[in-house]
Amino acid sequence: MKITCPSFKYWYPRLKSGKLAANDEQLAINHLSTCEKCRKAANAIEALIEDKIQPESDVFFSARLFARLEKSKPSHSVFIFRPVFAYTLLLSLSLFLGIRLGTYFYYQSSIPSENISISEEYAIHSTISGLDVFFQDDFNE
Amino acid sequence: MDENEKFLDKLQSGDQQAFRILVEKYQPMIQAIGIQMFERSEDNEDFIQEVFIKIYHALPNFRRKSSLSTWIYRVALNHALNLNRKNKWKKWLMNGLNLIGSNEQAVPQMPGQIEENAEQREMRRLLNKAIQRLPENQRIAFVMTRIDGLSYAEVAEVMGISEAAVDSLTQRARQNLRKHLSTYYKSL
Repeated sequence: MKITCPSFKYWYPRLKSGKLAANDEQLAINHLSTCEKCRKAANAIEALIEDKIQPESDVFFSARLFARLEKSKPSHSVFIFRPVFAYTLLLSLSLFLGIRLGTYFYYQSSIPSENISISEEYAIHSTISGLDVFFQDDFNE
Repeated sequence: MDENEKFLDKLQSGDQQAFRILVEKYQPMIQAIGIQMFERSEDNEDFIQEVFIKIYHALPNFRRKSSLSTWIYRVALNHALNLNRKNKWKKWLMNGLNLIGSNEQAVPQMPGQIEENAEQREMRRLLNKAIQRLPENQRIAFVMTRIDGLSYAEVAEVMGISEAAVDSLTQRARQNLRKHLSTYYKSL
């Protein structure tokens, strides 16, 4: 491997993890001792990685936290009045009403009740309740 | 009953004064975790507050199977990882919508190192970015072992692995970070 400044990114990590061949390792050590730019880069990287973080306390933190905790306390409202329940309930109710009214008006407008025979009317009612085949067969007999 | 047990009893019964003591004791450690886990400094304050709010609400369910400190660090780390995942999606979406004009982001300041020069700031930004790219286990091990005052034994307990495994993960994290940082050495 070429031990030069442009190839620093290839040989330096290998040097530190002991993955360079013996002669390359010696070349890398020599390069670091003579090239100021690479030495500076290596020192900066090591300083960053080995740096310890000193935990420091923030004296005003607990005041900010307790103010937020006050705000975040759960309210004791009845559960059906909570937004998620209320919206779900309203949506279900409106869907149910919509389907009921739609069905009612659809059959009101499509059935000419004066000209319909009893058997046909019965077939229509049983279609609505999902038992059409069963009843129609009875009447056909 | 020893002092620790009495303190835990007070905490679990909702004693505000006891909770204040807990916050003052662990805030520096949680802050040190947040500083390393997030690319943006403004995420850190929110992160620390959210961790303590979670702890406050979860304390009555703390079963004392592990030490209080281990439990607190676990809550903090899990929350940090979850936030990171969410931020990743958010960043991806924002990038997709072209809402982020530049890649330059605020660098979390290390406590006690406010007066640092541009070069150090740039390196620190790169380090934080590189930490985000580490695999989860390596990231946790590296972040925790860098905090002054935390022993390998404590980190091992938090992660539920042996001290040797923590050491191995930290070494691998350092190797990966060296690779990433040396790519940018020309900008020094």
